[in-house]
Amino acid sequence: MNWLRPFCSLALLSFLPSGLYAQQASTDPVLAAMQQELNRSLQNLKKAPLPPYFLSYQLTDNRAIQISSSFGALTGSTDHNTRLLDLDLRVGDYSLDNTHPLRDSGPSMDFSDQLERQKIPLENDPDALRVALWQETERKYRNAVQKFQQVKANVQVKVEAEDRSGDFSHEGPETYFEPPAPFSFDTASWEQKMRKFTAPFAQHKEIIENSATVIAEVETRRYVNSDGSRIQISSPFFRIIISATAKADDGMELPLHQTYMSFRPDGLPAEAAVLNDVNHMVDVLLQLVKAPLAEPYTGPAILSGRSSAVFFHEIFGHRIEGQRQKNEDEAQTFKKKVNQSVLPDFLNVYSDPSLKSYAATELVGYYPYDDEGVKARRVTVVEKGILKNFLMSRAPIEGFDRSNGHGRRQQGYKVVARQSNLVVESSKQVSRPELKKLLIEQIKAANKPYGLLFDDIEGGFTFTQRILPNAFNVRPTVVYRVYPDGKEELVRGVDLIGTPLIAFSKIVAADDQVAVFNGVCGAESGWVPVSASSPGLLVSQIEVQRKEKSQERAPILPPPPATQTK
Amino acid sequence: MRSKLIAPLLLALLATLALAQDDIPMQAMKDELSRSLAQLQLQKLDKPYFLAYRMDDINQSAVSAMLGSLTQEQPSHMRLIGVEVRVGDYALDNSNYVSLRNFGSGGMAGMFSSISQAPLDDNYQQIRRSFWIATDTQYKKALEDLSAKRAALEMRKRTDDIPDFTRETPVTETEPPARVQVTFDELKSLAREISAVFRGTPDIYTSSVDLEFRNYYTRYVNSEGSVFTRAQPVFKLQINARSQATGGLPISDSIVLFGRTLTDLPPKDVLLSRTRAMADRILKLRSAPSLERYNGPVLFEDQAASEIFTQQFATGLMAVRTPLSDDSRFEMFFNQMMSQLGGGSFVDKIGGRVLPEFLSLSDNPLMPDYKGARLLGTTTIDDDAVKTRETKLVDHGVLKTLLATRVPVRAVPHSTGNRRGWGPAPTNLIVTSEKSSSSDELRKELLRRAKDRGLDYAIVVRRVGGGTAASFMRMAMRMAQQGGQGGDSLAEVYKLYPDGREELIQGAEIAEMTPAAFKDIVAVGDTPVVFTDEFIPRVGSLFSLGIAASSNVPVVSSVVPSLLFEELTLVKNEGPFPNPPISPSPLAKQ
Repeated sequence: MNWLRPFCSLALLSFLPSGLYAQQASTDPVLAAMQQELNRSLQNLKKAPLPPYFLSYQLTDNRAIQISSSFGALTGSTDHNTRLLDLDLRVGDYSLDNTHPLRDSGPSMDFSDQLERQKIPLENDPDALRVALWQETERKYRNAVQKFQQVKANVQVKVEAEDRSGDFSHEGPETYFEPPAPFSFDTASWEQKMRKFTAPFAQHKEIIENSATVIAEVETRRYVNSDGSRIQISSPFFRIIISATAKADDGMELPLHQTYMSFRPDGLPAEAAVLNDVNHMVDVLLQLVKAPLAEPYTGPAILSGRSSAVFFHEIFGHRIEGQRQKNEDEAQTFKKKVNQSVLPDFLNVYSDPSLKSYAATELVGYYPYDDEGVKARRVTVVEKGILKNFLMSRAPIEGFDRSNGHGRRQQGYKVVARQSNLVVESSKQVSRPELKKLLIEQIKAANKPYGLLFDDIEGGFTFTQRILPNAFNVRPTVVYRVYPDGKEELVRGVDLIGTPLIAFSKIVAADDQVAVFNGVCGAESGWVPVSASSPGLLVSQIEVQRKEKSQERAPILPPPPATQTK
Repeated sequence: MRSKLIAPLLLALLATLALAQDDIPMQAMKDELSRSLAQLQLQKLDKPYFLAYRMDDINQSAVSAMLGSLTQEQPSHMRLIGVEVRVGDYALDNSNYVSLRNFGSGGMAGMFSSISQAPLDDNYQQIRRSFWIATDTQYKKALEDLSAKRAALEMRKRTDDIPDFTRETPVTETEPPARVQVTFDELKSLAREISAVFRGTPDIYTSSVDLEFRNYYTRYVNSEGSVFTRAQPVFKLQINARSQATGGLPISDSIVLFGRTLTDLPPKDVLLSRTRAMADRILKLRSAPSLERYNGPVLFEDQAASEIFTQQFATGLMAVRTPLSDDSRFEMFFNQMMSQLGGGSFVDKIGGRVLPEFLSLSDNPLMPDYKGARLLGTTTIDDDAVKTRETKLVDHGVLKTLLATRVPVRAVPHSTGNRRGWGPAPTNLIVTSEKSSSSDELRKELLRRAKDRGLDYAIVVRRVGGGTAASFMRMAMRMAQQGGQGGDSLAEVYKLYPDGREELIQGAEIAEMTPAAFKDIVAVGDTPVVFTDEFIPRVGSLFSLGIAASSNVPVVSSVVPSLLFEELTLVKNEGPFPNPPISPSPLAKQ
């Protein structure tokens, strides 16, 4: 797919005879080597006592240019090429195989994939590639046979699982081919830009930490499996992440983040626009440092569209990921709620990886095929407040035995069902000022001194580190008190608590200011780009407490001077 | 009295002179250090009595290949800074203390918080800012640690009064950055070419060639007046190959070479023929006979002598201080862990015999080469800014001292100038002998001793294998419960028969070797070889797990003659082994 093409020509592509794809695909030496080695492995392993019933290879080529700065100085500039192999080999059958979770076995301590990972040639020599594929197939086969024995024993000794669905879904073959996407990025000029983007933070002693990173990457994923699927997807991805933390006199740390993401080279904002946002960040940080501390509070609140989007992604979106309904260590909040009301009847929620833009904003949760070679499709999750469906990978759950194209991973991780583009829509809307009026009515009715407005929430995302964080944190960063007379006052140190799900049942109205949040979400299967979109929401009751503040004092000495003092 | 007055004046003069030549990072470091020293104080608490700033400029090019195809190409440039803050005084300060209570919150991250990154730009203010923030954090942590340490000491009777930090003479030394330029393309084509050797050997299942050029440039300044800059380029070539015997026994070998430049390595045709020879040997090993239990004399020839010496003996030569803790169980655990990992220190053996009387050992950082072969541990200044010097470690078999940093232990009250990275490490280890034998004489002596025991053959080891990095990996695997399969077999072992015939043996390993075995070396060769490898002190490695990648791993050269041990026990590696592959290599059919 080429992102520069207008949408209609993309639609046109799908009418081309499939023969053409096959032709293009077969001239790709890497894809051909993968197919050859897959066939040879299946053939040879047939003779083994426990032959695999499924085998897939996914090679991910990634070139990533990453440039970082802090307080106006360059801190890093790298340009890396990687090629990673993800190999799924299954022995047993669709109903019970080596991937079946072992119960009561404690957390998995299997780091063999990280420690013994086969290096993959970056160059397209078919022989070298096939040796690497062969090595990894043999290693995975040995592990799979061993694991399957454990699974069989575990299933026999434990009580019957509550969910008796199988381990893998039947899916048909898919063929899809995109040529490697063109990629260009002017490293030198971006190094200069990144210096400019963080220079304003250096002017203020209150700002103690700061970084800006641009990541320009192009990724080509090639996939073949024993179902007969053969897929090649290629796209660039551009991101800028700017973070800054101010420290109040009492030691409280106040972070702010600004991100921009796009699949298009021209999709990142112009320099002036970013600088404008940076100056705004500086202003808000300086205001936050002086802002009064929030008090513990229970009462009505508005979540801006952006806050609602993050809130839905973190609190709702992760709970509709299929495998969480099956794993007996999970809370399984929604398992028994299918066809029951989980949201007010004016709200609809769907997840649509095939959607490229929404509310005039590009969506980074787009992809044509997921990481198990299943075509991406729209899933109606909640219709008129009633829970209808889950996001599914090829791991079935009771009542949902097929994938709906949501099996995703970062290269090197095991696939699980993940979000793509989560969209929250309301069938009744009011204007933003109207929503504020409704809030004030609620404040008065509840006899509260003020209500809250959550303007921005920091989602569970981080960009530079690949260590798994607690991805489900929801930390409000910009919060205002709204007084009955309409006056708004910035406060700091707000921590959202209580049972988040109760908040969903207390949603009473939505505005017409739909906001899109593009982010990179980290969970079991690594980091994947996602989006969430929502109108602003009025919630009749929300609970906050005061944030635990850092015990670290501000630095003892003032920041050093800009030039040498003689 | 007079000279004492002149010294500070002279220092001040030197400092001014040096200032003229300082580059921007060094200026920033000196200015921030002076400011911190003069002004840094929290309320009425202690000011720092010692501050040290370090900046490592690391330019690195890493290239890997397999079967003629690149698998990695990674140039990188980073600047790591380290800040050392000491409060209290030389006798008792915040160091040598581990708080188990705070382990949960600060944990490992807290231990390594003294390392952070600085901007790549020569931006005066931002480099100062990096040191400013790091100093502030470390100073606060130091105050907390010192008060916790004092509290912990009050709870018990202190049995030792060894100071926490030694006083050393300030040093000023400058060296320009190394001009060594290795082109990336040069590395790539060399890696491709060497790795392509294995295209012709489908029965060698995995192979790789890694070429790495690390150009370190260190800037250092401390509050005692020491200033240095030091260039340490390191070039490393590693060729690995692995296969399995028909019974599953893993067979692996490697060639690891170091230099300051690419030209320190043997020429390409020599590298290619050495690679081919290794490949041939691995193929032969796959169907070689194995050995049952062997008790008797063993000869370690050439490189194998250096390997066994550095792996099994040299690790004990470091003076490692047991840290004080708020939980006395920690100190017990620490000492147990040290001995379990085989890295117990020889500290209690000082004055005792550790080698035969005809052998002596010294650590010599001032020797640039040995008979024309470059030594990689050579340096004039260590990471604490202490002037390096030769240290006689073992004199006629008797252990005299250990290698130490500015953290003293009972028997070693001063630094020997051996702080390298995370702790003490050797530089160049030189074994000398009062008597030596030619290679033929050694073999004759070996066979004579075997015959005396009624053995019809003797054992010669020519490659030990599994260097520090490999055993470090295995330790990581074991900790991750992967149960490291097989693996410790000696890489190249022969049965030597009385008629001079050699027979290659697979899967032999040494049973329970201890440093005591080195006392019973009965003869040594007359042509020592230079062998160089990375040195990860075993105990230190546990504490640097999280930052292994970012620390300058010391490279140690050793000059050791062939060693004939009176008696060692060799046993057969019994596995369990992974199954051999089911499919043949895709290269096999062609």
